[in-house]
Amino acid sequence: MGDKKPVLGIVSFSCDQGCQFAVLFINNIFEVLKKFDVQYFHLLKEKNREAKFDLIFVEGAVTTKKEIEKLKRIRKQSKFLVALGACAAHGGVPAMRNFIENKDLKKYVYNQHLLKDSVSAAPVEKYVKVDYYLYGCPVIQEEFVGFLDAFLKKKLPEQFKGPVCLECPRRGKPECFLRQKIVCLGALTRGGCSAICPKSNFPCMLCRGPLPGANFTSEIKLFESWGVSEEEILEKISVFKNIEVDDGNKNKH
Amino acid sequence: MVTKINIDHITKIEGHAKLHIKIDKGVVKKVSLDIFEGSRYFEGILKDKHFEDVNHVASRICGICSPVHGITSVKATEKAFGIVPSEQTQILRELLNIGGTIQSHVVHLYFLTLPDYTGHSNAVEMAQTHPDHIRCALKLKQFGNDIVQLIGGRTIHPYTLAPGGFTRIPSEDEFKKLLKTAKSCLDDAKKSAELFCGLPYPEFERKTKHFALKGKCYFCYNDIVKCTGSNECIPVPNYEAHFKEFFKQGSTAEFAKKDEKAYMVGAWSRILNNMDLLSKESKELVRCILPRKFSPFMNNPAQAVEVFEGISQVIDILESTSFHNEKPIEVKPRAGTGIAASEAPRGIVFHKYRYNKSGVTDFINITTPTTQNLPNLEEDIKHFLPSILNKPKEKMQLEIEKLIRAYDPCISCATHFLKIIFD
Repeated sequence: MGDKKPVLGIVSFSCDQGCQFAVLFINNIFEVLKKFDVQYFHLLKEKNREAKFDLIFVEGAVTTKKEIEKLKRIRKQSKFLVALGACAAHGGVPAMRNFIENKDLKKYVYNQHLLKDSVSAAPVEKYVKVDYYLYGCPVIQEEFVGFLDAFLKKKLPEQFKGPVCLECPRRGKPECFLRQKIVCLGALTRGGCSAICPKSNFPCMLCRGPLPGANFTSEIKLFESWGVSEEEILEKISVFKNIEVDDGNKNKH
Repeated sequence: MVTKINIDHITKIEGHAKLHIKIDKGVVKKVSLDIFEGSRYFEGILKDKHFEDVNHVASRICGICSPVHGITSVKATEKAFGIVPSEQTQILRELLNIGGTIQSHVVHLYFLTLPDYTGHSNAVEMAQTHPDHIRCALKLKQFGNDIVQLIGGRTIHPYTLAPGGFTRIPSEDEFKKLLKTAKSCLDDAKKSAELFCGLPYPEFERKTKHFALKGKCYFCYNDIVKCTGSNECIPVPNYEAHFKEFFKQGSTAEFAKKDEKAYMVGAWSRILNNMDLLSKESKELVRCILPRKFSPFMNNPAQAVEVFEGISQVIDILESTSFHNEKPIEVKPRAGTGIAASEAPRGIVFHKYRYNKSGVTDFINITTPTTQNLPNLEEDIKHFLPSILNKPKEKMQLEIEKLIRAYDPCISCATHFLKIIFD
């Protein structure tokens, strides 16, 4: 990249922009961004342009035809594309609508005629190649900063291998939610978050998405054996897992 | 001569907005603010959810005010099940909401609004010439983050909130540390309030009604909605009969009016309705903006005063409360409806849930502050335009943006990203 700063952008599709805020909330955010030529960051900048990006972060799930076009256009002119957060990486909360699509969704749609631009909510990888994934809802600030550092050094951080349980202080102890017959999705979820939720007595919700190879069937059977209904289990899983699109084994990292 | 102005993309946070203006021979003929939000279907997504999961999904409505959506959600669930949370839980929620409000206000004030008045196009540029503003902003923002992180578990989408209480209570040492930080922020917050009270806001006033929840103390509220200039008090459970939501052709968002009339909610409305509850110092700070009661631009200094008031309250609470370890109240679901309201950074937010007997939602209605503010903002733009028609188009655009940003309409609407098409 020579003396020139890498051109960076954060572009946002359907989501609550929590990841962009997580980035904005990083305490020394201006120091961090100084090393880049930021060309696209709506929350921060007045003038944003679709430049030739060295590094583009894509936040949000893709839910409209217009978004598909924009995503493809941006991919074409970007060297390195990162799916930022749960919605972009595996559909996240917006993809829950696919699960309810067959129910009475239309009642909840604000203006019916606008539906014609709408497509099933999907992660970014459904439409373009993704070079790297940053998981979580929202993305973890330290992980984001660590990634930027590594990107500048041209050495990408390795993805955490294994489930949330690997970092969970309850693992193998009577405090383990599963031992208490409380539905916890940690064993199915990609780890790397330091198990922050179980540490605060809250069972994992799968916000970092399904671990490649995770055995959903056997886990669902386990929950059912405790008397939890299949519907309730699927509702829990559907919060962050795109039941329609994602088979849990797509991410190669 | 007919001039059309299309502000084509006031973008986002959860709202893509555009503005169409039509001016004929110097007379404003049409102002239409339309939201073409992506397809998020939140009220649909929240249906058929188990009560334990509802607040975590509801929090994802908004990345910038996730704490208050989570808080309002658990409150509505508790109401449906007839649970009264402990006093400590209520205090912790109040602290969490103050933290979320500080995060949101500081980002809005310093990153999105202030560059308009210092003549910069963004905060990164402003940082070069006004490092002191940025230092102050980062310090106050960090304090907001600290509160939400400590009580909610992380700075966005707090996961310790549950119907019945909190899954984790911070330790005494953690609270002590927070108190120390709070004290170290007070001076900066005061300077910040003085700075925003003194900015050269555009001259514009229009009479409107301001609604806010009636406070027990500033930042802790009763279930009653109050209105400036009248004795009208609306109990929160009756809100739907008064605040009517409607759809506009071409918009994916809802808009709300009261008795067919636009009204305002937010920091300025809170201060106007609950002035007597402010601390002595905050009252002193708002004194200089009070004469401009009907200027929507006063929402900016009002937010800055709330940051100061918030930090003062955190200090008061932490100095007078000893927290103990407490588990959430056990929740026994039952069929029923719960309605709750909170003061979000941008104004009153209502959550209404209907549960079946197994504790699964079958009806949801959520009314956000921006929904309520949009009709009033539209009216304001209509009345504001004549005073700026003689300005060059770029200047006109900036003035309109300043007005839109004063409302802080779900932040990214307020970002510097207006694309105006003049034809």
